[in-house]
Formats: sequence, C-alpha cells, structure tokens
Amino acid sequence: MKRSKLLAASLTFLIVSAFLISRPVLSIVNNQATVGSVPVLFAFLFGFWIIIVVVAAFLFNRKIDPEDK
Amino acid sequence: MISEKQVVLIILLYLVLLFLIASVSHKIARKNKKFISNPWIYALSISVYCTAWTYYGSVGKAATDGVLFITTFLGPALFIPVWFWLTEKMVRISQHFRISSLADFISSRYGNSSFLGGFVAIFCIIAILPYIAIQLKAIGTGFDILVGQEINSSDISGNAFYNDSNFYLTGILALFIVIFGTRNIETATKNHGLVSVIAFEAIVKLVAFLSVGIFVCFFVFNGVGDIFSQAAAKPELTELFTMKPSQLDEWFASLSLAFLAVLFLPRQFQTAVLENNNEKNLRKAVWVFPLYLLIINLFVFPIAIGGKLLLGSQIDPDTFVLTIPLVNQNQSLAIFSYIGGFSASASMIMVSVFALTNMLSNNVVMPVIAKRNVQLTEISKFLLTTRRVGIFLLMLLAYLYYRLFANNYSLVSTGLISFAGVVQFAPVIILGMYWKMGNKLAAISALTVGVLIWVYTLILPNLAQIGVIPSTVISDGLFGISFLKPENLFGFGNYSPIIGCFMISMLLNTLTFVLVSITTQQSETEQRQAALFVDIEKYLINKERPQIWNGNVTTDALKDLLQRVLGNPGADKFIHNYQNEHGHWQSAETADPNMVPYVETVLAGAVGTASARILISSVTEDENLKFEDLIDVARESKELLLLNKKLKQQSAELKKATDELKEANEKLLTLDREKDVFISTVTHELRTPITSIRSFSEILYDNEDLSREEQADFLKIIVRETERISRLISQVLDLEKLQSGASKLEFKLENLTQIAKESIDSLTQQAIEKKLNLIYHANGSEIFWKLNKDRITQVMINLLSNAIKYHDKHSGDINVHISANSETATIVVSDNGPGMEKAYYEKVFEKFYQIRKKDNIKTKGVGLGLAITKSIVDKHNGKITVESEPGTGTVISVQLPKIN
Repeated sequence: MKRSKLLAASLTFLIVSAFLISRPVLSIVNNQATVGSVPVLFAFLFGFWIIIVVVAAFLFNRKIDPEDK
Repeated sequence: MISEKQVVLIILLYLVLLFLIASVSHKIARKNKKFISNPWIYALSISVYCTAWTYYGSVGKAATDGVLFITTFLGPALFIPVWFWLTEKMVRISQHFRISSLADFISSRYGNSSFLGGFVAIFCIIAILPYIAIQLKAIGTGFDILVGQEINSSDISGNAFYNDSNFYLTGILALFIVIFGTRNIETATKNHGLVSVIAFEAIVKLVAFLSVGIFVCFFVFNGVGDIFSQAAAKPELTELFTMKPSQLDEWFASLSLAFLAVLFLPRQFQTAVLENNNEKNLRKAVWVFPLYLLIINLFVFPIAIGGKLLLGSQIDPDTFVLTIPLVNQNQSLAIFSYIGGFSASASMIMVSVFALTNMLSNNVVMPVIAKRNVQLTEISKFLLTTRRVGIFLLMLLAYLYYRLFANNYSLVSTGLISFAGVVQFAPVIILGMYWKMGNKLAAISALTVGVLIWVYTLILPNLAQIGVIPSTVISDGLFGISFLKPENLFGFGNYSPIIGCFMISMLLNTLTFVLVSITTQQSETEQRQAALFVDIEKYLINKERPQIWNGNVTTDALKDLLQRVLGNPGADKFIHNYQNEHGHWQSAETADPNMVPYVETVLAGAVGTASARILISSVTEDENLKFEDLIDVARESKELLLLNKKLKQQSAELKKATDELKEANEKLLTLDREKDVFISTVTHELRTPITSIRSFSEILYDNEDLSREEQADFLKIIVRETERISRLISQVLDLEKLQSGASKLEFKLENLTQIAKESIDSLTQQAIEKKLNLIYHANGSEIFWKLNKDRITQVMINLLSNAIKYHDKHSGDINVHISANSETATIVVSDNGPGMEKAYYEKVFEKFYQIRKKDNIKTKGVGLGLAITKSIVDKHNGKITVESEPGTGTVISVQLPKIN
C-alpha cells in the first residue's frame, strides 16, 4: 500500500469515527438508557472502540511502500 | 486483616522481582538484538499511560460522572492513525539528531535554543510533579486500606516521615531509577531494563484489574446484567447511564485533550519516541495500544456501579478496586489488586522521573555549565552525578508535595491539570514538524501564553484554596473584572475549568505561534533546523550527514571534547564508528566538515542538543552558515534522490535486457545442439545406403562373370538404396520447409471423409500383404473442413503406414475414425499392435527417433514421418496426442481446430 493511500484511508477512517461519536449521533444513542439490562451508550462506545482496533490493525499492518508517488 | 509487615514484605518481594527483570532484560538486550526491538515490549511499554488514575481514578470518575471517564482512553484510540503519523516522524527526527528528551526536541527544532529547552524542562517539572505526588498518594492510600487504617489527611501529614512506609518506597523507587536509568551517560541510548519492567508492569496491572472486574461481576453479582438491572431501579445510578448536555458539550474537547496528552506527556514521549528501536514496532503499537486501553476499561463501569450498589456513598469510589474484595473477605485478591495499582503508579513514577531528570540535567544544568565555560575535566562524571542527585531530588519534592498538598486533590483532577499543561507543547511541536516558518520567538511566545493561561485558570484557584492568594481574585476576577475570573475566563465558564483552560489556551497558543512566526524573522540556525525537521525523510534517504558546517577546528580538539563528555571508552567507540563510515580520523589535522556535525550529534545524545551546540562552539571557530548553503544541501539531497531513482530504473531495465539475452542464448544453444544431432543423424542415415550402393557397384564392376540374375538383383538393391536416399532427402527438405516457415499452407474447405477413404485405399495393398484389416468407421454424413488437402493426406498416410509398419500380428485391425463438432475435427487412428510405454509418447515425434521392434530390428524408414506429421498438425494450429499400452495397441488422435 502506498503511503499516500494509507494516509487517505486513515483520514477517512478518522472522519467516519468522528461522525459516529459526534454530538448528534451520541444524542440519539443517549435517549435510550438501557436495553436488556445493558446501558446503550456504554455498549455503543465499546462496540465502536473494537472497530477502531480492528481497522487500525488492518490498515497499518499491510506492507507500506516507502515511495510516496 | 492483613498486617503491615505482610504488605511491606510483598511489596519488597515484588520490587526484587522488578529488579531481577530489569537486570536480566538488560543482559539479554546486550546479546540479543531481536529482544531489543521486540514489538510487544514496545507496545506494552506505551501503556505507561495507564497510571493509578486509570487503575483507581477511572472507577471513581465513572461512579460520579458516568460515561465521561471514557474520553481519557477513547481519545487516544480514536486518533490512533494521527498518533502513528506524528510519532513516526518524531521517532525519525529523534534518532537522526539523537534527541534525549521532550525539551531537547523543542530546543533542537528552534535553533538549539538552550533558553527554550530550559523553559520546557522547568515547566514539565512543575506540571508533572503533582501528578507524580498523586501516584505516591495512591500507593499510600492503598496501603492504608489494605492494612485497615483510617484514611485521614491529618494522619499522613502529622506522622513523622520516618514512620511513613511511603517514604521508604519513594527511596527504593529512586534507587531503582538510578540503577537502571543512569547506567550510561548517553541519554539517547535505549534503557532496555527499564522498558522491560514497564512492559511487565503493564501486564500485571491489566491482569489485576481484570481479576477485580471478573470478581465483582461474576462472584459478587450474578453477571454484568445483574449489576445494571439493580442499578436501573435506582434513579441516582441510572443518571450515570447517559450523558448530561454539558458533558456532551465537552465530549470532543475531552477526547482531543487526551489525545494530545498521549503524545506530549514526558513519559509517553520517552517510551513511544525515545525508546523506539525500530519504526516497524509502531505498526504493532497502533492496534495493541488501543486494544490495551479497551480491555483495561471494560470493567470500569461495572466496578463503579457495583461498588455504588454494594458500598453506597460512604466509601470513596476511587478505592473500590481494593475495598470491594476486602468487604467480600477476599484478601488475596485485594493484595493482588494492590500490586496492580502499585505497578500502575510505579511505572508512571519511574518513567516520568527518568524523563524529567534528563531534562533537568541536559536542558537546565548543562547549558549553564557550558555557557559559563566551567572547566570540567570529566563532564561525564559530573552529568551522571547530577542525574542521580536529580532523581533523588525530584522524588523528594514529589514526596513533599504528597505530604503537604496531595490529600486535597483527587487522582483525576490532578492528572487532568497535568494533561492541560503538557498539551501546551502541541502547537510548537506539531506545527514545528510540518511548517518551516515557525521560529524560536514564536515558540517562546506561544508557550508563555499557554502556560500563563494554564496557571491562571487551573493553578490560581488551587492557590486561593490554600490561602496563598486572596480568594477575591477567584470570586470577582483580576482587578474586579468578571471577564477575567479564572474559572470564567473570556466567558468560558460554561465549561469545566479543565476544558475551558484547554480550549482558550490552545486557541491563543496556536494563534500567537502563527502570528509571531509570520511577523518575525528566523536566524540562520533556526532556518537550518526547520528545514531539517520538516524534510527529515529527505536526509534519511541520503545516509551521509549533510555538510552544513563551515569553520575551523582540529581533530584533537574534537577528540578531547568527546573524551571529556563520554569518557575514553565512549569517545573511542564513536571515533571508531566514524572511521568505519568515513575511513579517516587522523591526529592533529584540521577536521573535515563531516566531523563537526557528527561529534555534535554524538554529544547531543549525552548532554542534549543545546548543550552540544554550546560545547562545540567552545572549541571551534564557526563561520556563519548561509541559508543558501542549506538550500544547496537540500538541493543536493533532492538531486541524489532523483539520481538514485533513475539508477534504480536503469538497473531494472538492464536486468530485464540481461534476462532476455540469457533466454535467447539458451535457445540458440539448444538449437545448436539440435543442429549437431540432426547433421550426425542425417549423415549416418545417408552413409548406410551409400555404403550399400558402393559395395554392390564394386561387385558388379569387379566380377564380370556374374550371372544376369545376380546382376539384376544387385542393380535392384542399388536402385532401392538410391530411392531410399532420395526419400530421405525429400523428407528432410520437407521437414525443414515446414519448421522454418518457408512452406506456407493454403487452407480450403475439403471433404475430410474422402481424404480418409483415399488414404486408406492407397495403403490397402500394404495392409493386405501383412494380413491386416484397415477399417473405416463412417460417422453419419460427410465432413467438410477447412484444411490443406495434400498435407492432411500426408498425415493420414504417415499414421496408417506407421500402424501397418509396426504391427507385429498377422490378422490385426487398424481402425480409422473421423468426427467433427462445431469447433474441432478429429482423426483417430487406432490399432491392436504392440503398443508402447508412456515414456515414448513425446519421443516418437522427435526427428529420426524410431522405436525398435521386439527383436531389435530397425524398421524401414528414417524416423521423420511423425516429426513431419506433428509439424503439419502444428501448422493447422492443431494437436496430436498418443495413448498407448504395451501389448494392447496404440491410439493416435489428431485434432484440427476450425480455421476462419
């Protein structure tokens, strides 16, 4: 993977992540306190967190081409 | 109840274990390079971010403010790609310049400014010392809870220090840092023992915290669901499940604050940047670190809610991880939990004190010594002593702060104040790495603004609380102006003080930096450093150090300087390294332009970049380096880069051409070999009939008395042998024509059925002579196919005559099948003759190859029939295959594709 592509992919990832935990989205989640004895906000944030770890592992452990063309 | 002696003994044993790990790791690292650059050790060491604040304080924060505690850990995880890019660049810069601390990094970027380095170092000490003190408090409080003492602030400050176990622990930790952190004068050298201990403690605190979490969820309660179900019945607890509007307002600022802190806290900079041995380790850390943060936070909320349900509001929630196991009579878990908390505190204290001491010695003490031109014969000994004293001094100050003030503040609030302090470095570092215009004056101004706002909004209220300044400043604002109230500065009072301070300071700090940079000029040294920092990748590609020094100095003066700072063995090592790279270091010579930057970088690894510059200046007669020289260096690097790229390209093209030539040569050699075999076979085949003709001609010539019958027989043989020669020459010429491409075939739509029948007819007599049946199997209507009639007739005749020739049975069968579909026409000639081994399937198509019959008698012919057949089929783009079994017969199939 070229460095420029990796940079673009990580920035996209960052923007999508920022949207997912932005105030409007969090407010929707915040309206529902618990579902089936699990706090919804707690579950949402941890679910999102797991995705971050998986995406980071996938993105940054591909072979990086040092020549940024 | 656990006795004091038991706890002290356990802690001492744990410390002995840490000493052993550090010592063994240090020894292994000297022998095994793989161990040094182990990515897991690196990734785990970064988790030094998780201190007693995480271990104890997160639970307390979750129990009072709900989900907001998560921002401290989610922030670094969310911005992990940015962390990767920034850290990667910081690692490259630090390794290139042998940077020794965060203060050194900033000082180096802004023209090796010793003032800036000292400013950053002192501010770091002020901002981090309370944070270290609060870790000591966590160790002390945990100890008291474990041994069942009342937790009372007056007790701690009232007791004599020698009765306080924390005093001794502070001393042991200081000793540990001295032993494993000051082994070497070079601060740029990696501290494998220390890092291994931090990685080990990361595992201990994680396992301990998870153990408490599992205990609370599954042994005290019936699972996580049970905890939240019980909490749902209590309105004061359900409030914690959602965020208040004010918390939502602070959400992003809190995440950003935590992210910047993870980059610029001195301990984080030390582990992630300065202790990095291999850039590739960042790829492991980029997912292991957020995963670690995730796992350690999984049980924070359940423990907080469980503790509230179990212990109510009487117990400080910061202590739940200890009190819950104790209340439930699980003393061993309580001790293990305490060891986890101790690990969290101890690792933070060790790395922070180590980093701060390096700053103190390299950026505060050493520049003063160097500037005043104090003649120290052995700077190395002086520096090591300074660092060792510095470690004890900082630990003592932290202990004093803990004794006098720490009981008034919680873990989280003190930690957050430190966070808000260190993030003031963000604009000068981040912009400094990507924007060449940033200059020293701008950095000093921006940091001053940031630090003043930090002091004004976060420190003044605390000073007012303990009576150092009048409380009216807080309640009415400076000079009675409400707009200047520290907790409502510029109208940011709607936010919490930390977030308010963070937002105002970041805004004004960045603005100041940009404005001052635009409006003021850089010195030549600043321009040079700015170019080197921003374009570090260029200089790393060209491994030669750019020759960016003009001046006059002897090699002996440089050597003497190296010996004073590093001692004789250290100096010899680096001179030897230089000789290996450049090949010369003669005594009493004028140093070449490469030597001075090399020596300066080596010295920077020991005394910091600013002090190294001062020391170098003290022995050299510098000439001002023009900015144009630097531009030349950059241009030269760029040209080298382009040249390198071009050479690579040419090398690839050359390799391709070589491969092609090699292939062509091998082809030629094969053809040459084939030609030799061909000539040898043809001459052999010609010699046999010629010999025969000559012999019979001589007999006829020499014996006139031969009967007419005998003469006729001999002449018949001569004619037959002549025909044989003629046939051989015709076949050789035919094959040559086909294989060389000289013979171009014309294809027409022909009746394939008729061709087969005519071929059979022409060979019927031969078959009858050998009592063989030539059977044509009609397959419906006649088949018309585009082909060359003469050549395909030749193929049919060759196949049939071979079948007749090799058939060893009398009264055998030879079958001919012709079929076709829309794409292919197929001719199959099969017999029930002797058959052949699989090994001959390919060989039979080779020129002059003939299978010998059972009795080893050579068959009639020269062995070119099937070679010619194959060439004809190839010319039709067709395929010829053999299937045979010895004793059962042979099937030869010819497939002719449709020709358009």
